[in-house]
Amino acid sequence: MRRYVLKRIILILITALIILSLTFILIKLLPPGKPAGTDDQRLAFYLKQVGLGYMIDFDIEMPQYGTPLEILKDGAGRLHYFYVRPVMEQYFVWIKNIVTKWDWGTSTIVAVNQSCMLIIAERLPVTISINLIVSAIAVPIGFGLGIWAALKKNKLTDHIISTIIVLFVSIPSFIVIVFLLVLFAYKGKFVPTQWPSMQATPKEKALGYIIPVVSLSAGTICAYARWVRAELTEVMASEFLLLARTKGLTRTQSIVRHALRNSLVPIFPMLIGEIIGALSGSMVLEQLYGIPGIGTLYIKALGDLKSNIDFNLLMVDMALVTMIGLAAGLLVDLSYGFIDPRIRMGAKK
Amino acid sequence: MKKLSISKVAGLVTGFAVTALLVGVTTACKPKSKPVVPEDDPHKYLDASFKLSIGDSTGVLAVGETLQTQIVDVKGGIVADDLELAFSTSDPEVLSVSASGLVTAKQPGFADVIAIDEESGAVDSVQIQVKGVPAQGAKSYSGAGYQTQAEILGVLEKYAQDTYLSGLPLAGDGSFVMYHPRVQKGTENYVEGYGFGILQHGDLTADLEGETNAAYKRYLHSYTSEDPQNLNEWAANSSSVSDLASYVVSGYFGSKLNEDKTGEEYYPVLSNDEDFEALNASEDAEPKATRFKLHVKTGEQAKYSTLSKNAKFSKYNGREVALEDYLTPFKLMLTKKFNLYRGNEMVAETYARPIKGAAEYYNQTGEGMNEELFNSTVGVKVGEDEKGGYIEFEFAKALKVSDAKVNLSSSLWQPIPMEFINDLGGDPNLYASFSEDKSLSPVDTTLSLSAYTLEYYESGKLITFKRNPEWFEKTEDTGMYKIPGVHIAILEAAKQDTEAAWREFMANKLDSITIPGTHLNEYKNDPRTVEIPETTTWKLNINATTEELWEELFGKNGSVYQTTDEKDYWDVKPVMQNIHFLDGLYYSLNRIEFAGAQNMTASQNYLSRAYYFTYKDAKTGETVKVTYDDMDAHQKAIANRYPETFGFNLTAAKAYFKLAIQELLADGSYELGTIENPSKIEISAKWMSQTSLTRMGEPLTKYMMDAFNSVDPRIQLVINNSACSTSDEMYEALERGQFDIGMGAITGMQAWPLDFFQVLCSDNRSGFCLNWGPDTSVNDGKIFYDGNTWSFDCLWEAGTTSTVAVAGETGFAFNAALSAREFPNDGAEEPTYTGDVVYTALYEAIAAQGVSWKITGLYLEDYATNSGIGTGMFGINLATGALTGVYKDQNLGVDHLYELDEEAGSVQFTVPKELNDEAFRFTKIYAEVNEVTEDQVIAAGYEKYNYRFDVYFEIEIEFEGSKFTTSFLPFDIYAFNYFAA
Repeated sequence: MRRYVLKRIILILITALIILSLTFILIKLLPPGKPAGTDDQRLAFYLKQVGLGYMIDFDIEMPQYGTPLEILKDGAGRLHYFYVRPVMEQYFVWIKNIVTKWDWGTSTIVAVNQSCMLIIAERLPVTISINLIVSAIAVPIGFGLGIWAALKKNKLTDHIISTIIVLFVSIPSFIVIVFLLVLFAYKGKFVPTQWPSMQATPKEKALGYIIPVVSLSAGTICAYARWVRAELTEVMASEFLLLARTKGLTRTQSIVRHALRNSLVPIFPMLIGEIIGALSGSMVLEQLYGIPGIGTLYIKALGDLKSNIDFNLLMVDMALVTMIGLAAGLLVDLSYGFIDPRIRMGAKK
Repeated sequence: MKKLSISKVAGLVTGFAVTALLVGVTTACKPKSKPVVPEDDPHKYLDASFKLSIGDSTGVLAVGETLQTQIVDVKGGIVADDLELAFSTSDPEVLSVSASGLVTAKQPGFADVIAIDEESGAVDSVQIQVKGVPAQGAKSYSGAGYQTQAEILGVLEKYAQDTYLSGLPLAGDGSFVMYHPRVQKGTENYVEGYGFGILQHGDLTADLEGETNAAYKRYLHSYTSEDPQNLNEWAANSSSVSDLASYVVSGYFGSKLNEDKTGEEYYPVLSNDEDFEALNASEDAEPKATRFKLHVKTGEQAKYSTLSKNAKFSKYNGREVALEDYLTPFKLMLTKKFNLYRGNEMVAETYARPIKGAAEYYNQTGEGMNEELFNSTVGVKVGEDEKGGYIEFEFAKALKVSDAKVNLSSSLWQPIPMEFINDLGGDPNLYASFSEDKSLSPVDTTLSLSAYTLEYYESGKLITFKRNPEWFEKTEDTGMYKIPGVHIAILEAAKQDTEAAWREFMANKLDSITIPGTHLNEYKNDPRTVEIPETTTWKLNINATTEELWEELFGKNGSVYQTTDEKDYWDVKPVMQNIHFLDGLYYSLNRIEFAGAQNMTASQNYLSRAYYFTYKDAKTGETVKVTYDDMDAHQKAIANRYPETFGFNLTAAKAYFKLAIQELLADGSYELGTIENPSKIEISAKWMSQTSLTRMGEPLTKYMMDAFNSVDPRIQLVINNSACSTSDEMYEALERGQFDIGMGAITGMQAWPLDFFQVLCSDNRSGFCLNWGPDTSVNDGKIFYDGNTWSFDCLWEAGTTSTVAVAGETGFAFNAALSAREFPNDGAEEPTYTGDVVYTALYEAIAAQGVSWKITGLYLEDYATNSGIGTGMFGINLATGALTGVYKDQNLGVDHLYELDEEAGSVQFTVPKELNDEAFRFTKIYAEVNEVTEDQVIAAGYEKYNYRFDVYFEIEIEFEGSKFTTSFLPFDIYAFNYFAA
């Protein structure tokens, strides 16, 4: 098992390296956007790019670098031939900084001069705190509703729960968010209209969680409830459960000791994946409610995909999302063995 | 009986619902019994056409006459008897047309009669003229009331709109803003370019209910959708940084409301002088200099402030500004190693204020700052003289002296101690920013030298500024800056959602909000709402010249501009001369949608809402302002242009495009292609910048192309967009006819809208003509006013001054220019003149046959002084010595001061020394401000002055037995620096 885990971790790192390298190279290969504006504004922009290491500047033409992106003259009469620095050269500098100094660089557009790792580290706790609360609420309620619906299969309770599930799964999350904002924040004034700042009172900060938690929970609860109901009803119809009943176990005992555990086998991994996946944040929610989380960082870093891409921050964010996804995969695989003793990852045949 | 389970019932109900939905959808999609375009052949009616004939008529009717149109030459799969034609006219005031095509002439002018077959889309038109009587004789409406002026303006505007002399209007830059009732503005009259002066001169009368933090309840609450995470103007090129930085930085000069709160004025902030001193001003009409000097505040006069609690930075709180601090921003920006955006900009060849030696220094500082090199190379120095500390600039190119106060007063040049930058680690990129590890925030890394200090900065959430009590403009002394602080919420949702900020305002969390389009009708008349007037209407300018006209205007001997190389001649497009094509472009633009996306107000007006007329109320004696846009005269001008949708009508656009295609094919300008291989009509569109191309150009050209290209798939319109580097380049192209469609806007003279229309005269007399095509000097019968037809120029002249109309066209034009000047002086480098000044001017006149004229007087009128005191208009008739207007009650006792040489076409006149010294002074008052008395006499003690006056020629004109006198102002005179003895 240990060897298996180690092997998987190494594979994760290699996969992450390949993904990030491909991302870096592909984004760098995008046609560079020419800035708008007057000659002096464009000169200022290109000189800035040279300082950041994305371009090089010569006072004569250098055909080996291809066609210059632009040629401008400064006040001293010096010509500036601006070329895009070769992509592989930029790539190796980037890799070297990470490997030798663990330096992922500073942000150049979104939060100028701030360490990209620190930007992530600052935003991640907000996203984690919201998602932890969501999970803490969604799991018991979702599971509870799913179990209830399964136990009351085809009865009125089941139909009501199923209808509510379909409703909330169908409604896009941003509709729910806006609805909650208008009803409870702007009209009702029960909760803050935006995520409170650090200067807000503890009460306000606590109330600030309500809208994001409720809006994220709604869909999650329904998803969990649907899965649990589906799996539980299938297991409850199986023969071994009938045997358990005939052997004298009460309904409750048979469900809790046998049915539930068996139904969790496919659900638990999905649960882990869902919780970990939520760490990448909800872009729509963060945008609408002003939450300083991870979700919107990617879009901000991409800019207009032309002249204002925050490369360093984009790569750090990519790295985080990639690692979350790959780690989730590993945890999900390992969780199978935890839930179902028949499954042991890496066991010999 | 078997019970139906609930789920089965639910299933049945769902099934019924789905079935019903499907049936409904299918029914809705079922084709009508009489399709417009049969499904079997979508191009069935492509060649359908007919001719709208006027029979044997010449197409020229008298008022009241009628004409029955006929349909002939029906082709392309349609039958004459099946035609269901809809008739309309392009100008119901000129012609009316009945449902059967009977035309009735109503008033002189030109109009199209248009017939459309709704089923096939076939369309044709015929132009009919209603003949009128051209204006003849001496004409003047300049003395008539504002309503007459507005009527004339309305008639001219209609002509300009109908002929696209005024281009294709798009949107105005106005808006409606709602304020919280607690906001007390600095002035109730919006000052263009300045605002209401809320922070500087206003106040807040109550707490903001929606603010939960007690410390901020009396702060001015606003928002931003961008969080730049720094206030470092040196390093940034975004307006979000400069908007935030503006609270904590100052320039040498600032602006505030003037005394009567009707405008803004510049005043010294970090400067101790009233204006820059030009050390080597040229002796031109508009003096320029390369060296400027300014005394600046140091020591007790100006102190830095910070609210940092970090001991390393809090020590700067209250620190006095030192003279050498004024050099720091230049040293930092121009050092290449620091890679500061604004510094990089300063070394460009095209930079507007290039400092001498800046680029040379920049190129040698890749490793770091070099003080010695800076001091020896760069043209920025500080020093001390008897008046105190000063900063001196030397620029690589001469700059206008009159603009120095505005152009050389950048907040980027605010002083800062070099020691502070060293405490930041020596990197100016860290100034006013979060540190890399976020242990420092902009509160620690910013030094304020302004009325407010940065108090709090939370990324993505909140920025606050607090009143700086140590700032030299104390509230108790100046009455300014009463508001204790500014609270700026960062609302990123507002980037995509225009309602986000609106909801915050309605929740009493903001003090003001621009009303979004969706709520405009509801809140436009709310008592809290204030209209921010449009000052400018953005439009697309049109080049509708023929090759011959283009050659005449812009060719080698062009009357407007001389294009020296034939290779640079513009390729004039035949399609741009087709009026129906231009009509199609006009009606294809969805101005409401476009303006909404640009945060502007949709407009189909040439003149923005800023233009007005005034009149004196007979009862109260007060001057009343009437916005021209609201007047009937303007409403009539656009009445036929779908004002309810701001000129957008896709059906009309397509009909006009179809007409244009028919006409262009008929005259051989273009050929028809095939559906598989359509022919292309290519025109170009120029935009002011890449950004405006993307934001404005792409949606606008899409409207136009989509509408045109949906008419006939065998011929397609392609608009090739290109971006200029600068707005100057854009306007140069417009002024030289180097465009087909070009973006632009023009504003000015809001109080004189009729005078402003001079810009549309095609002889470019204003120098600002941007649309080309119609010849405004020709009476083409389309302008009808006061019972006559006119040319545009003639009616304009009659409305603004006076004119002689010959067959509705201008019968007399006069021009003159200064040719020589002599003045006795002491011969010094900066001469003192010692006697009267003698001027010589050459003149010429163009008179139509039967018009005779002579010069009967010469007037000199003072130009308003630069100190803003204003003199009113006054002058002296040099023929008689009589004074006009209000000045000193004295008669200088001179006569026959001008001599006319009619053969040579010249006039010589003398301006007495006393008049120069006392009347025409165009003063600049320097550091030692002098007493200025009511009668404009400048007390002793000032050093230099210019003088400036206008020269009017009084001309008597005789035509057809009538005589009248009018005046022309062909030039004014700027005098060079004089020193009075």
